[in-house]
Amino acid sequence: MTSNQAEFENKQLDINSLPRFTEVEFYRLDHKYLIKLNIRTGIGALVILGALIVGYFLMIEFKILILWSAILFLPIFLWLFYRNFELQKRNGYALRERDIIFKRGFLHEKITIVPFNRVQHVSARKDLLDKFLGISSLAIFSAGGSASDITISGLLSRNAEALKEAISKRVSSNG
Amino acid sequence: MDSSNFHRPQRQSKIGVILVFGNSLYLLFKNLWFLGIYFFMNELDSQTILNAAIVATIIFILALAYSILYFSRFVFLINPRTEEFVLQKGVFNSQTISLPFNKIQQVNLRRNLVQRLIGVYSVLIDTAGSKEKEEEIKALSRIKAEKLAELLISYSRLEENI
Repeated sequence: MTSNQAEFENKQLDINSLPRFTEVEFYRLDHKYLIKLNIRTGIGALVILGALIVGYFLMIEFKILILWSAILFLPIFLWLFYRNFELQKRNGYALRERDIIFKRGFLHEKITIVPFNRVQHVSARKDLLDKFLGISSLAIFSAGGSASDITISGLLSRNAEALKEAISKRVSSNG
Repeated sequence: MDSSNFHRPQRQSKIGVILVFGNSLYLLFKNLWFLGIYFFMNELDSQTILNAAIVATIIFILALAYSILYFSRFVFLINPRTEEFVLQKGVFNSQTISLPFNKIQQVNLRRNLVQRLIGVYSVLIDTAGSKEKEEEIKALSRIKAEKLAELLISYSRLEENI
């Protein structure tokens, strides 16, 4: 009985002495990611601009309304382009010995830490735009729900491959 | 059937093109069936019907080309060095999936009516997690499917014992 008690310990930890994940250095995403985001936003802007122009010339009775909505859309898209810029600057990832940290978001920042021994599988994806720009997305699936899955988009393809290889190796060796 | 065959990139059985093509035709039909109603409801002159037939043929050929491309880009292999099963797929959006052996929960063989008719098996590789995280190889011959399932299971057992 006494030996059992000696083995069991549950001491309080000092919060201030814990290692800080915020101290790790985050790698930024490639600047081509910004191009990708801006192309997407740009396509959205063009579609709306086209619709407004068509409406302006075809529906004469709504001319004023359409002009006002154009004025309304301008700051929205300027904001979206600025947001893309901030996203590219703020999103980042870091690799530690036992886990991967992914930080994303501008106004609403979210940091996910996935330990390698909880990673189920890894997948590298490229959509059409990614292929032109030479970038990839790396999706890391963890056990459990989709809330803990992370997708790091905007990695240079060769970095994505290297990262995938490194994660796979650690997933296999960590058991 | 030697196990080392799976160490090199493998394609599905050639007849699997039919499955891919059938699936893309099904998707086309699902999205465009209302056009058919339009043609039945209206009386059309022969010129319109001819144009529609030409467009339909072009779509048919494009779907066939897509299916062949999809089939030839669908490649899988067992990588013993990194201890994982690797699956590559996709025409426009390409994807490389790596499944570590020790995360494989179960391997299922399955066949539906069409697969029964053309004599192929589906191999489903399941990992922990939600439904969408299972990978499916839709067309493998019986020998290959069983060999692959057996290999994956034996590898995942081997990993557990270490």
